[in-house]
Amino acid sequence: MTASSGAGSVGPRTGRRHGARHSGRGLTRWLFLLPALVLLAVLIVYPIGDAIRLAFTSWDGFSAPHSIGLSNFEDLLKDKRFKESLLHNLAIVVAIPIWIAVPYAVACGIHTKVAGWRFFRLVFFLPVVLSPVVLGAYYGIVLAESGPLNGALRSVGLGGLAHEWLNDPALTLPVVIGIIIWATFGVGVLIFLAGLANLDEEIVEAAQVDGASRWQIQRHVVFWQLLPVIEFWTVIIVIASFTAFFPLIYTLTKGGPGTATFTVDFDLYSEAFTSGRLGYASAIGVVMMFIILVTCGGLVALLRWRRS
Amino acid sequence: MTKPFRTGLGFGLAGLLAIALVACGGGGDSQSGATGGSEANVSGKIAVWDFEYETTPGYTKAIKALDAEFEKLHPGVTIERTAQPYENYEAIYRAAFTAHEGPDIMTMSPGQSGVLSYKNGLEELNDRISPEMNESISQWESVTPGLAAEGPRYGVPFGIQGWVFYYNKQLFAKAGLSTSFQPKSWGELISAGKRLKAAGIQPFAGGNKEGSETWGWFSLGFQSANTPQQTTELAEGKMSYTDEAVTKAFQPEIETQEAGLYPSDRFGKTAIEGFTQFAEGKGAMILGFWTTGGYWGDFNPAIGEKNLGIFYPPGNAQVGTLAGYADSIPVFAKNKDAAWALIEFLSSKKASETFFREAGILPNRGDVTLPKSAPVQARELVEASRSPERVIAPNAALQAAVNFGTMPAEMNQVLQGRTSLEGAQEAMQETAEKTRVE
Repeated sequence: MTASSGAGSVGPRTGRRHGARHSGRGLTRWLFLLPALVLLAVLIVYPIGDAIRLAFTSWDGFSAPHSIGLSNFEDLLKDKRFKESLLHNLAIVVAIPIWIAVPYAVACGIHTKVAGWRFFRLVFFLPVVLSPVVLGAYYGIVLAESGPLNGALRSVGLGGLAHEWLNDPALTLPVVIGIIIWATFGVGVLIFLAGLANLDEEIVEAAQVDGASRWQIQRHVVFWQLLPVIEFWTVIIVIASFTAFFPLIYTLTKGGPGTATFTVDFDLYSEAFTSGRLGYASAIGVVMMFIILVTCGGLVALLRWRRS
Repeated sequence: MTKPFRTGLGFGLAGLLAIALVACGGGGDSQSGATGGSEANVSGKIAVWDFEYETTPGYTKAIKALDAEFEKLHPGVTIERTAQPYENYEAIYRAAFTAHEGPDIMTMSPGQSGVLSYKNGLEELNDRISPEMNESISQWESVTPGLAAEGPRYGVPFGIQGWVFYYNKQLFAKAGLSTSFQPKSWGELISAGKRLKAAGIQPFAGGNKEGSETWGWFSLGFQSANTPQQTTELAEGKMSYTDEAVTKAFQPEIETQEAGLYPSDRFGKTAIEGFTQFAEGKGAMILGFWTTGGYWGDFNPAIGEKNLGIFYPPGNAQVGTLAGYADSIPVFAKNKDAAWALIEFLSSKKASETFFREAGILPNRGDVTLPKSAPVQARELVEASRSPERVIAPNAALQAAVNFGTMPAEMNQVLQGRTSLEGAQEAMQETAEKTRVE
């Protein structure tokens, strides 16, 4: 009883002191977080909320926006150019296996420390440090009808392979996707190299002791250990494919020929700044966000299901 | 917080960042400030956004000299002129309008796709324009809704711009063609092109990667087949882009392309590359501008003044022109009176003479006479611009989204035989309906 009451009398006091210390630490944490939270609220949460609000309005940028309910979204469903742009984005997303396989293979090669691996690591990463605007301007020159690529093909008797790379609707999108993959795969190589550096070597050695071939080790051990890295890289690619390549496309093709390389972010820019339909452009942004969510979520679920 | 929820939230924030692109700024009411400039109010800083500044050397030289002179005349004034890239100026200007923050003067393109597409964010200048100014300056239609001669003015027009055909007389003579060429029909122009081709001469030089040549062909084609009243109807949205008048306007370019009179790489080259090609004598004709770039000032030094001919579109005697630029005052300008004083100064007779002398900008003032030493083409064009047959160039009627977006994109496909003209016109009409500025 005494003990119990003693314990009972001491417990709450200790608890109060502990609680006070705990709440003091909690307050400190919040104080440290506060500047970042304020910045987040002002620079990200508020603009996003405002963009969602604007998606339900008609706004030309001059007069005040007025609410039009779901009209922008209804118009989007009928908008041929938006649908076409979305298909182009999906074509970029469909190229994900290449986007994963190429840096994965290159990273594996570098990881085995082939001769000159440091040089290759640098060379493969180099395109990443170039601005998309520079890449767009550069490839605009290289791939011109009378540009160096066609010139080189003609000079070695392969003139039949020379094409209007940036003026053929059937060719231009694959060309753009190729350039995008080339421009970004250096990041993938670095990410996969980091993954490979953290491999559980014991499992690899155990597989070797069990007599597994290099291919079997790669397929049954390394690949499965790298699956979280692949998952991460996939998410990055999907988000980037919808949001990161506007400067490249703008400088390389301006969405052309015709609308052959229009992507959703290009369409958004065009609606906002050429057509002056800022409410509609906001609706495109909102839809884009949901598409990114669904696509990323679906792909991650698929990869996790495969892993399980 | 569960892991899937955190993952979802992460994706959500990443995606939402994308739409934050269009969320900068917000709705707000436009408000007009005080008008009625007086010398007493001409002081302080005048911020100017100018897409020609630091781009065209002659213009830059002229404007620097004129700005300095203005500052000298008004000791309390500082002009801060910012070069804005022409290619993106509409995005930059629109961002300024949505933010209600920007310069005191904006240099604009003329017509529906320029100044008039921003009219809801610009000062109406009629109260400031004196009767003398109204009388002596031409091209007011370029800054007036509906391209009307009278009405609210949203800018002050500068210079004379338009499209015209240039030809190389030596190459024409080599093909046995007249060196005083002026076709009476589009068929005659195509026949001349075929004759040049048969003589081993490239008939047309050109580059239409951006689709800008199509603006010119459309303008000349429309002017040649239709009336000024129809241009106004197109500008006011009373005529559909699917109308037969528009179909007719595109025909000359389509027929010229189909006759093989352009280089095979026309759609892979820019307009500037086309101008260079012509200046190098690699084409007998080109669709060029009246002034500033791709014009007599560029071609004369290369192929010789006597060797450069001009011809106008066949069909009727109309001469289509519009302003080269328009200077406007946005409603949010902080120093409106000083801004107006500068605009007034830049539209003076003296400034017009400086612009012509330094940059070859043709004067849109009736009281400016070109010196006798001026190139023959400049004198001919100025005379044409003052003729009773002058009309507003029909490309001034095109809305921005049609002019910069749908028309060049669609017509490049039509000209390469990939889509139908009918489909292209429907696409233009759809864009026009969605983006009309009321």
